[in-house]
Amino acid sequence: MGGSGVNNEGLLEEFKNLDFIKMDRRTFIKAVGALGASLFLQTYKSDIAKAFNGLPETKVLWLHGVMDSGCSISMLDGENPDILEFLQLFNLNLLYHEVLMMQQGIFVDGQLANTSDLNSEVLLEEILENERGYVLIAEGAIANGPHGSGKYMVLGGKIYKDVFERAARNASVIVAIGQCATNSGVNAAESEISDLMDHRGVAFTLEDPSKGIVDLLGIDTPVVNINGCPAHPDWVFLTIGAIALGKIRVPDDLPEVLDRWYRPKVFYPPDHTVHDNCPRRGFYDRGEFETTVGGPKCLWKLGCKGPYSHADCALRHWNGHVNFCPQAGSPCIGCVQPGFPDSTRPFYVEIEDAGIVNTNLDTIAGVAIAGGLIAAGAHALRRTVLRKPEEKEGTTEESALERTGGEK
Amino acid sequence: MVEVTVDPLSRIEGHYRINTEVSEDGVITDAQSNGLVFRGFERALQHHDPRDAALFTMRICGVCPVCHSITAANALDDLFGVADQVPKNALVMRNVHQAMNFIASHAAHIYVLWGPDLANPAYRDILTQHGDLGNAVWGELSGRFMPLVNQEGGTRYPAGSSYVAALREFRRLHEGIALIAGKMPHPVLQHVGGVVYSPTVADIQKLISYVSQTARFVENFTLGVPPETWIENTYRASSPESAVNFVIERLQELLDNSLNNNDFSHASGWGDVPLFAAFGSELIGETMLGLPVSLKLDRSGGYKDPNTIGFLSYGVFFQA
Repeated sequence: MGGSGVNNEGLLEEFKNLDFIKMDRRTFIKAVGALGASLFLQTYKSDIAKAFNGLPETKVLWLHGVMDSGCSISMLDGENPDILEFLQLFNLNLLYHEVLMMQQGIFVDGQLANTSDLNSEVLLEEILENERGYVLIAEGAIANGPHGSGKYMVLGGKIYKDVFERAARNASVIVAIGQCATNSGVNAAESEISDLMDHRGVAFTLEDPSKGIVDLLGIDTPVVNINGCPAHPDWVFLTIGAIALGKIRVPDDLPEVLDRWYRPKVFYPPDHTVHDNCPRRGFYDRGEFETTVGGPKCLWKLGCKGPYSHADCALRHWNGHVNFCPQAGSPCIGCVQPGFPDSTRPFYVEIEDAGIVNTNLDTIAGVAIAGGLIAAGAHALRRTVLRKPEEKEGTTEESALERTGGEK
Repeated sequence: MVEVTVDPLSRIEGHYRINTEVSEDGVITDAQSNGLVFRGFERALQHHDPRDAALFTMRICGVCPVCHSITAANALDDLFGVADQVPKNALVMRNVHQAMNFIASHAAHIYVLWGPDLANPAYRDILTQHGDLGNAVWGELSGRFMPLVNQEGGTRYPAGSSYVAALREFRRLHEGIALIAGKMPHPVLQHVGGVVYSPTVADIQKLISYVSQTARFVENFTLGVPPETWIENTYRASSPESAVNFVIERLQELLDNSLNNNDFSHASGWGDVPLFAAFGSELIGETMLGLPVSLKLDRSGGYKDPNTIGFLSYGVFFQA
């Protein structure tokens, strides 16, 4: 299966006007697989706001680990559907969410006070004790340090790793949202203390599949990863919606709809990168590159990781679909890629050149000053460097494909 | 003495614990706060390209990423010795960027993170002892400020009207940030020496539109009067006394219209601020306006010296 729309033009036409809510499961899976790039999702979304009755309730437990709540905020920024429509439409019962809930954890002389109506810790205990088969939305990494104790995150007097373990064991599926949960993200960034902190992603820690917390804890609940820093609300809502609707059956359909990093291929297409639909792509094709920030040309020489980043950002856009990073003048920093941030930093250096300017502050300063001036526009010192088109190893779709290994 | 611990302190970014010691009089005599997560951000910056900091450090907070990003950019300006060369337009862009996050964070903080406390059933038990008026006020508090996730006795209540409306503004302002900064959270505008994007005329017009729409929310939901009127009569009032008088007279006017029919709705002019001022404070509500009940929130704070309490300066409304 190539996942390319080019080879499946007939199929594409066939799926184009289908409403995913009405689509039967087989057609859905076929469409997700066949269209590869996010063309499918433009139809996938179209009728989502229509009333939908008779769907059984799906319970959702949303836990926050080592993170910055940015994915919760990103979900609040979702629209069509927004988070309220999302919960209603798919008949989701959000049981627990640390940012959006009434309750606090209350202890009086060390004892839990009140009932679950007023005490989040009583509520969480009741959920962990009684609920089974819910969707676990995992936001944030899981602290395993120091020395395997997990004490770098303690909540309600409990080690979060233990809470996560109980929640994960009894879930029907774990949907890890955002880079902290999927791959530990910035929490696992290389530093002198990263091994000591030992913050783990759910199924992967950076690119290491042997270091996911579920493996460590021996949990076999299926995992779906919605990467990104933050995750895009469409990616999360539509994936969970498809699961709630039975369009994606867990675990049967997962091998077909997910790549090898457990990301839904429809949003993180193996054959498509941010680079493919970048509005600066024309400059790239003509070999016109910016060497300082602020201009309209291709940002490749400023370290843009778009050619390596498998996501539909350039088609979907963010926050009301108004913009995305390279369109706003910044190189893509590859925040959906499993190795982010270590595999994509230095952010402003081409991958081949990484490490060279690292030690030369004078070079960086020269670039940076000019960049700032150009960015400001008015009295800009415009330093345009025109280059001949260059064929760079590692920028083609083929090798990008190899990097993520998303194809079978 | 009783030890009361709030853990987790929910409705914040991150994870937090508050330990308090409460005397028999219900007074907090000691308190400690604890951050419960360690992420080691400072260390992750060491031995790496310093320019990454402007995009890296903001990932400490998904609610207020912009200030972290700008702070990192400021530090980089110093590091590279270009602080005095950052163009004025870039500084304006930094300020606009921060201001948008600042306004959005107010919507989040007041309505999503703090507001739900006003819909706590403990307040229902106090208010509903006071007949139709108490019931009406409780109906307003719970109908406006109920958070998305709540339960009482097996019942789930719909999210409050002000809560939901504030989320719309939050989303709109984040869209405004994305327009000039790529996306939100974790926008990409800041860079050593300036910013990476110069707004077009269309961008600027749109930003004005976003903020104007939010100003309408402030009128319809928060204040019950146009923001210009409020600012003119409080912030720009000729004296603190006249500012206080403006607020009290406005409240008296609202009460005169509502005490007969117990209509305290947004539509009858009761913005969230007047509702909170009248029924949150014992001094305003009970002492000055003669209301039979209030939540006495002005009595729960720690401002022992009345001289340190100024109009709007410490989160309370007037000189004791």
